[in-house]
Amino acid sequence: MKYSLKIGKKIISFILIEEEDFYKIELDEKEYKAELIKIDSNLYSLIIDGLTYTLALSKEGKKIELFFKGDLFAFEIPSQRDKGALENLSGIDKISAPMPGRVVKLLKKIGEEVLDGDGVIVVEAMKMESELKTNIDGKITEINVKEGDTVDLGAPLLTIESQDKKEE
Amino acid sequence: MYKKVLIANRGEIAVRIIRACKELGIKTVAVFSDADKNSLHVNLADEAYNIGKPLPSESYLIGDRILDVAKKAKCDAVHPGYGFLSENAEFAENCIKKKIDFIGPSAESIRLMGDKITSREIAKAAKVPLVPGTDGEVKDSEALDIAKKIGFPLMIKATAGGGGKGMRLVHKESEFENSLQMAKSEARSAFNNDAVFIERFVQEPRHIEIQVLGDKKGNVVHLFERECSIQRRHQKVVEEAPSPGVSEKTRKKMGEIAVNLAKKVSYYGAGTVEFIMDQKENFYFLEMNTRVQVEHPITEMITGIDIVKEMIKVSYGSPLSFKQSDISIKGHAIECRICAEDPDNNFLPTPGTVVYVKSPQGPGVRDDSSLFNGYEVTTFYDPMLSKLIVWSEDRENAIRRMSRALSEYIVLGVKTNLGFLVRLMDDKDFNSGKLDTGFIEKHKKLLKIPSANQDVASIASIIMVHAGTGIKNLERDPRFTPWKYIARRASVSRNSMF
Repeated sequence: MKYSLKIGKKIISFILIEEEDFYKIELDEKEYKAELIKIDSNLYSLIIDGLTYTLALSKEGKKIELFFKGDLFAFEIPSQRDKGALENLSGIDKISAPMPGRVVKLLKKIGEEVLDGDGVIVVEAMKMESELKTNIDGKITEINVKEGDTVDLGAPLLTIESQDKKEE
Repeated sequence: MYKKVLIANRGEIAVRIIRACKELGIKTVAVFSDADKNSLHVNLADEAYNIGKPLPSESYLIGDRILDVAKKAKCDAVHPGYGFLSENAEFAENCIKKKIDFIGPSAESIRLMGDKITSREIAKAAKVPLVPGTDGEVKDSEALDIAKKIGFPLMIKATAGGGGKGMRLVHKESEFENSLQMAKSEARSAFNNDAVFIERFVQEPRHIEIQVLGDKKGNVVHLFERECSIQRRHQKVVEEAPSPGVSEKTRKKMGEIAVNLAKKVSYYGAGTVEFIMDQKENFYFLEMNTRVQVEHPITEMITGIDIVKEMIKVSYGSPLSFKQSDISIKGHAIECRICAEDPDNNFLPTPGTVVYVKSPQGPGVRDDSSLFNGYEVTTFYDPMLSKLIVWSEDRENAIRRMSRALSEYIVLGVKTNLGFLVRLMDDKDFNSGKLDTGFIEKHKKLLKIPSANQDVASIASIIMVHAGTGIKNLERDPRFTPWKYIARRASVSRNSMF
C-alpha cells in the first residue's frame, strides 16, 4: 500500500507491504524490514533490520506524535487539499505566531520591501521578546495584527510575497 | 529547628525545598496559582493554599498575600527558592516584620548585592576584578557616545536584570540604537524598570561561578566553582563542576575573592558570585546572586553538602558545621536543564501538555523534576521542566553517564531540548572541555535532528497509520509468550520491575 505522511511542510511517501511477521517498507528508494510492538501505554519497541529502538508515541485522529532519541516528531496524514497547498507555498511567507503571546512591535509597513533574514515583527511570550524573520525576499502584502495585540499559537501575523510571485 | 516552613515558589525548586524540609523533620506549606493546582509541589507539601491567578504578578509575586498564608498556617519561616521574591529585599524585610524568618541573606545584603550597580561598587572596593563599563545607568542621549568609548562588541544590561532578560549583545555601532530600545522594552516588562548600563564584552568568555555559604556568626566558606558556559539566550542550559578550564591556582584565588566579597556585606545563607573568564583564566566579576541557584545540585554532588538544608539551618541560627579546610572536590558532576523549547526554532518555548514522561534511573543519576503525566506547560512560567544531574569519578565518565541517562529520558507531548542535549554529550568539542558562552552559536549542527532519526520515526509512524489499533500489543498478543513479553518490556523500560 502507498502512504504519505506530512512532517512540517514536507510530505514523505512510503510503500508498505505486510508480510507474515513484519512489514516491508520502501522509503527514498531504500527498503526496510520493520516491526513495531506496543510495550506499555505510550511506549513502543521498533525493530528495523535487526536494530532495536525504543520510542514513545501517541496517535490522535490524523496526528501522530512521536518521541525518539530526545526529539519530538509530529506527523500528520495529509489530505488532498494539504498536498495542493504545499506545492504553492514557494514565494509566499506567511508568518504566524510561534506561540501564544503579545505583539510588541511591527518592524515593517505594508508594501515595504524585505530581504531574506530581515526581522519583521517582535513578539513577546514568557517575558522573552523574539524577533521573527522572513525567509524570502519580497514585499509585505498583509498585516493582520497591531502592536499590543494578544495572539494565539498559529495566529497569522503578516504575509510577505516575493516579487517573482507577483509577476507570474 | 523550624517547625513549619512555607515555600514561596513552584516547580522543581519548590519540590527540592519540600524534600529538604521533610528530611529535617519540618512541616511544609505550599502556595500555588490557579495554573498549578495539580502540581507536584502541591501534592508533596503537608498543606497547600491557592494564592491567585496564573500570572506571577497576580500570585507568586504578591508578597503580602504569601505572608498572610504563612501567618495563618503558623509558619516560622519562608523559603523563597529562586526567581519570584527570592531577591526582593522588601519582601525579606516584611517577613522579619511579621516575625517570620526569610530563609536567605539579610534584606540589607540583598539590597546591596541585588542591584548590579551597587554590587559593582562594593566589588570594586573589595578589589574584585571588574569588566570595563559604565558605573551606572546610561541615559539614551549619551548612550552611543559611551558605547563608542567602551568599544564594540559590548553588552547592554538591565540594572534590575537577571536570567538574561533585558540583556543585549551589540556587535557593531549600527545595531546599537535598535538593541538599546529592545533591551529597555524587555526590562520594562520584566522588571518594571528600564534602566540599563553598558559594559565591554569579553571575547570567548566562560561563565564561572563560585558557590558561597555563610552563617549568622560571620563564617563564610566557598564550595568551589561551577562552569555554566553552555548557554542559549544568555541563559544556562548545561552546568558542570568542577570547571575543566579552571586551574587549581585560579580556583583558589576565585574562591578567596568570593568569600571576601561575601564577608564585606556580612553575607549569610547560600549565594553565588558569578565571573566571566577568558581563555587565559583572566576573570572579572559579573554579579552576585543572593539566593539558591538552579544549578546548586552539581555542587552538592561534588562536595557532599546539602545546600538547601544548610540554608535552612543557618537561617535558624546554627553555625556552619564545617570549615573551608573540611571541604574538597570529589569527582565530577554535570547538570542538564530539560526545557520545553525548540532548539531548532531559536529555543522558543513550546507550551502544551506532557502526555507521557519517563525519567532515567540507575547509578549516579538524580532527576530534580516537577514533571508527571498530564503536566501542563503554560506560557506563564519558565519553560524548565526538570534538571537531570549526574555524578561520576571524572569528567569523561560523567559525560558518558549523562549521555546514558539522557537516552533513557522520555517526554512525549511537548518539544524539549533533550535531543540537543543527547547530541551535545557526543560532541568532540564539548568533550574536549574548551567551552565558552558562544558554544551553541558555534555548534549549530547540534540543533538539527539527524535525518536518520527522522527516518526511524517515519517508519514507526507509517506502521501506526497502517495498523492503527491493530498494532501488536505485548499484553494481548497470543503469539508472544509471557517470557518474551517480560524480556522485551524490561529491556525497553529499563525500570527495575522485579
